[in-house]
Amino acid sequence: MRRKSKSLLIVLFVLSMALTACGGTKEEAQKPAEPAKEQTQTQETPKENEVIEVSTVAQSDPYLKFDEGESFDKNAVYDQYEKDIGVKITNKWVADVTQFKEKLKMTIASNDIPDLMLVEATQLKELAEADMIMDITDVYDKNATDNTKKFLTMDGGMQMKTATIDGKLMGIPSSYNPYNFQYLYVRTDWLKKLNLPEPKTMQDVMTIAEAFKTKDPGGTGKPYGLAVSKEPFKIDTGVTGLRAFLNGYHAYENMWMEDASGNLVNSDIQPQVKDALKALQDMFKKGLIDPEFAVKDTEKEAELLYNNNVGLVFGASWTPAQLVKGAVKDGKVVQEWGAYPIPSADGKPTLNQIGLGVDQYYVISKQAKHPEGVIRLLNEWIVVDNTMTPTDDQKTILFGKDKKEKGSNYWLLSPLRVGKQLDNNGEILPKAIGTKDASILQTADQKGRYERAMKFIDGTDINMWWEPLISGPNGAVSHNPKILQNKEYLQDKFYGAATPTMVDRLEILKKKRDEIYFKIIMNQVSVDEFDKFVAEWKKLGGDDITKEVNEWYASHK
Amino acid sequence: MNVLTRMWKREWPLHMMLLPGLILVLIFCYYPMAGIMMAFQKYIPNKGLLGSPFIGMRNFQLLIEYPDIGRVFLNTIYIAVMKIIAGLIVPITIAILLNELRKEWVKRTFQTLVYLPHFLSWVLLSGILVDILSPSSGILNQVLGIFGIKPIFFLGDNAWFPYVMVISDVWKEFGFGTIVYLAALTGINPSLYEAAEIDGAGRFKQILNVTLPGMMPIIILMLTLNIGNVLNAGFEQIFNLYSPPVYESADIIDTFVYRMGVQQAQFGFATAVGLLKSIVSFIFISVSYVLAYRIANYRIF
Repeated sequence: MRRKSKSLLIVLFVLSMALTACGGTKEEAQKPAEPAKEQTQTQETPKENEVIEVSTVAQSDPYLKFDEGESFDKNAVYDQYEKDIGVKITNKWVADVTQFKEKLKMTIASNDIPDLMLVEATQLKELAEADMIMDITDVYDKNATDNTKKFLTMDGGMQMKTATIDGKLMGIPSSYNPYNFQYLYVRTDWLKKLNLPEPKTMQDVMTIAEAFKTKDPGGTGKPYGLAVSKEPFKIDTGVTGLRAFLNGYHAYENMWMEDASGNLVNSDIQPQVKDALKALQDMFKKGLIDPEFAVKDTEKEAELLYNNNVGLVFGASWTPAQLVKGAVKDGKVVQEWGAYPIPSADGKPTLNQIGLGVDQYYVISKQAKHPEGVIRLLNEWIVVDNTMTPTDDQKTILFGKDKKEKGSNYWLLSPLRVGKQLDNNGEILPKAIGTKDASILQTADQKGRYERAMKFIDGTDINMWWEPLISGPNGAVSHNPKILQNKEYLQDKFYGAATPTMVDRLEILKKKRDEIYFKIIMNQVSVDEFDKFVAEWKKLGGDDITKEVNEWYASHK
Repeated sequence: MNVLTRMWKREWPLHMMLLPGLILVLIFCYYPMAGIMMAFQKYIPNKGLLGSPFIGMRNFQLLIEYPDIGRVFLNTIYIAVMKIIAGLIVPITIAILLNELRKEWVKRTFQTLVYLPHFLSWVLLSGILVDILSPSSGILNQVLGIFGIKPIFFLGDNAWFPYVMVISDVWKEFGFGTIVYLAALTGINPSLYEAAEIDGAGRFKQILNVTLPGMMPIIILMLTLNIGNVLNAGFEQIFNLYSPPVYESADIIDTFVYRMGVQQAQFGFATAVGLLKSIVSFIFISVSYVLAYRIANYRIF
């Protein structure tokens, strides 16, 4: 009897263990976040030369190729930073491009932020309001070198000012040159084959698209005119988007611009958009646009470019780096592309829609033990990224342990990266590459680009095909001086935090907009539905938002 | 009293063994329920649950005032109800058919094969579906083309989208359901079939009069549990397959909450909708439980 009850007891015990073990997986799932926290907490105030730790979050990137045995946890770049400036970098988590932004929002929501992270402009304001990030005015002033301070105020201090809230510096602007234009890329070998002129107007673009469709110069049997992917209006869509197309019709995607009386109006509901949509609808009717674009992402749509189905695409200056996948095959150049400024639908020049030059900020958590470590990272990055003659140690930070450029994009591993607020690549590079004159180069970036372009031109590395198309005499940036000189660009006039009505209604307005834009382009509804959308947009909160934005504008003039 | 203390003395180790499980349930199931508070707050992460300001029913008001709310609810219920019904009929039919098979290995192989898609994620499957359903190069439209049917853009056409969702979901999940119903079939007493045969019932009559009634308790159980899903139309699936031209027929509560709650960082609002969904599910499950008891005289709990 006693024996029996004992064995029963054992069975029950095992069962209860099994049950708790099932629940236990949840517990484990929560754990990984903790070690990082403990480590930062056990740190005491450092003496000179002691290694300090800075935690951050990282975004994995398909272009980042790790050397054997290296990872986000351990790599030559982190080791070099630790050796040079005594800052040990740890990642709280790593997420890929598609999930990074959402994951970051969840991290903020759960109030478990790392010491250093890169956030959007709206998040900077939210975080400052929520008192989660540090006022770094003093830390920056004390620890930033003169070189750093000079570098970040190259534009007269505009971008630093956007990071200042109530006189306190709340973040380091992830600065870049705001004059990032889009261009039209065309298969020039096809133009020659079909005896077509270069695209100067939107009408030319239509003619070329139609010829590419009807004459099928790629010989695929399934040609289209223009490559478009499923999020064509998003700024993140650097290739296969339609923002540039809108610009050609003097229409702009979701930005605030002045009307004739100096008030701000939203670009999404302007009549010019209707013209652009009508043109796109006509193209769709003629079969010039892939009918499945609404479900294809950039990479999938770009296959049409690689496989000779399409020879026209709008994109950022780096588009050639994408096109190279189809243009160079088995060590031979099999596609010829040309870069052109965005043509205009009428005689008036096209204005390129551009950002402020800073839409993201590096912020430091209020809980951070060593904010000075972040500033040290900043100093080091600026020195390393801008020297014309990098030392071996600096090369490690840029290229990894082999200290030479091999296309693995190790610079992506540096946790804090800022770019030059101004560049004259458009003036210098085409000239230097055209005349093979390295003496006029002024920056490390220019030197790198020049060297890459030369590798292609003298035939040592055919895979560098893309660099001359960006920087060469007829490359994308060669059009910049004229665009800059004639001020053929338009900047968003609103850079405040989201207004109350925006918070409630921006989602529905965007949904309605995407729905109607897509339906018009796909010829499911008449282009006149656009007028109904405008009325609906105003009614659903658009008018209120416009009012709030104008109140903000009046106080920031 | 005396009896109770005696029982306690004898059984206390058993009670103690319950403790670890109980604590886990408390920590992971009941403690997080305090988060329901967020539904009535303008949640600010740094201030946390206790510090965020209460705004009453504002989040629910925002939901009701949302201009497309009727459409969104209709889409959700339409897709979810179709999924529940199809998700019941298909596996039951397959299970009965499989049960009639003589060769054991055919049955087992088939069962395993149809069970496989259950383990694939929608992220993966959506990529495959986009290819299969493509009007220009997809295999489905090429087959339809043989019969002279013009290519259909299944994922870009409001008339087709909901049905594509239902069919692809059933395809993915029916293997799982089939296993449950097959298990129910093994529980039917073989002597009932013998008796039916003696009474002159053919195969079909046997299915109708022995198999189906024998499965009834499990069918009712599954239906009752599934009815709670009437507001879950399948976020992962639709989010990976929808696009602006089909918002009209594809936008469901969960995708809407994702855009509003996560993309616009309105956590209080997202919680409010989640709470509302739970309440509706609870009501539906309760009602179907009572109905199952009254009509089929079957108790689940």
